[in-house]
Amino acid sequence: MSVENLWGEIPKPEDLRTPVSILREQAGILGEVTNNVLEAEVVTQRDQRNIILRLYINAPAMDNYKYLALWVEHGIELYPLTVEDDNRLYNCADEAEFKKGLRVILSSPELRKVISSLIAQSTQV
Amino acid sequence: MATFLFWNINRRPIQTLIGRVAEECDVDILVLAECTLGVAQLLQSLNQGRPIKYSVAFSPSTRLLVFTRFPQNSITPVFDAGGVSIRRIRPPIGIEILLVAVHLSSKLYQEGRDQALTATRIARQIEQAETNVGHTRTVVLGDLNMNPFEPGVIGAEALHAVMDRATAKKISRTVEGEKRSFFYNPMWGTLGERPPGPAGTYYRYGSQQINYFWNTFDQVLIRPTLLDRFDDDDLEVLTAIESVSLLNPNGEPNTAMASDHLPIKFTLRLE
Repeated sequence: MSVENLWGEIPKPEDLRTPVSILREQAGILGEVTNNVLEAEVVTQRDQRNIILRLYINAPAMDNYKYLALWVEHGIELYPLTVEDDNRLYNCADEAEFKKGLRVILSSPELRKVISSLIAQSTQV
Repeated sequence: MATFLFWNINRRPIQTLIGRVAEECDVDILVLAECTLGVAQLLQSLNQGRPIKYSVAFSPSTRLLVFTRFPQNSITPVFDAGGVSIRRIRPPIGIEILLVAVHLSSKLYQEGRDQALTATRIARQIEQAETNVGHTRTVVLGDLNMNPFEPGVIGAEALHAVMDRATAKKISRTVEGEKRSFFYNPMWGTLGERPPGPAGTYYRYGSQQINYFWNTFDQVLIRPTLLDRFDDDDLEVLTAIESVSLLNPNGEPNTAMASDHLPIKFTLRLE
């Protein structure tokens, strides 16, 4: 007698885009578009219930100055999650909403100002 | 001798008072929180008729602003995250220090436990910055929105800021297998009415069962490596600027005239 599979279809890992992988992609893009004048890194912290992801912008030419651009908090189920910066917070039910919130923060006037200021200071060093 | 002054100005348009206090106290490093005034407006007040001009240090947000009379290249940014700005200060003469300017979330938005957890993260950020610059000559200055006796300030995992020099001079202690460095918190000496002066830096009347009324949210914390350069008598909670009192007739911060927080001032012998 064959054993019945009660698990159903387990999603393949490549079908799942985790918030950390989305953030890492965006981190990579910052280095690319600034010719590595600025870099970004994602730092993961786990507490008992949640995972907190922090996206830092680094300026290597400014003695590795670090700026916390945004942070994301989610549970083991990935979504819903919250993405926030100093000025705004979004509750995101799924990947599409996460990307929407991320786009608003990453292209916000406040962050653009920080990025242009860091590029200017880095290239003057 | 370098003079530091911190003031949470509660979004008040008090640039004239700020200019006056900077002149009266001969301030070298000025840190402002909750400042919605334009930087140009402030620089005008700070620099009017002064031979040595103030400049503003790089800041990605207006939550904390740092002004200095030192040459502009004396301050370099090390780290910024909501409410925490770490700056490396290299005065023209004297030793380099790390200044951690803070403006943490108000008790209106965060519970005590949340504040304590935030403080543990800040403690790690400070340690990381100290590792990066290669020294622990660190000063934390700002509005912690916690009193000196609260877990986020006194806790070993958090800022670990103790009330006496002798303990702080032990440098660190091991708690549950982790080495945790001390800060000295001289603000303990300003709590209550002895010595004479305001009982705190911020006053709030409320109907809760437990209300301290006076709170000492605005603090300076000093690493033991700097203690020989700091004299407790040089720490002051200011209640007047020139002849202008910052207090109302009840002896509480005059929110109509200035801010709901009182400024704090101290000096460090950096040379």
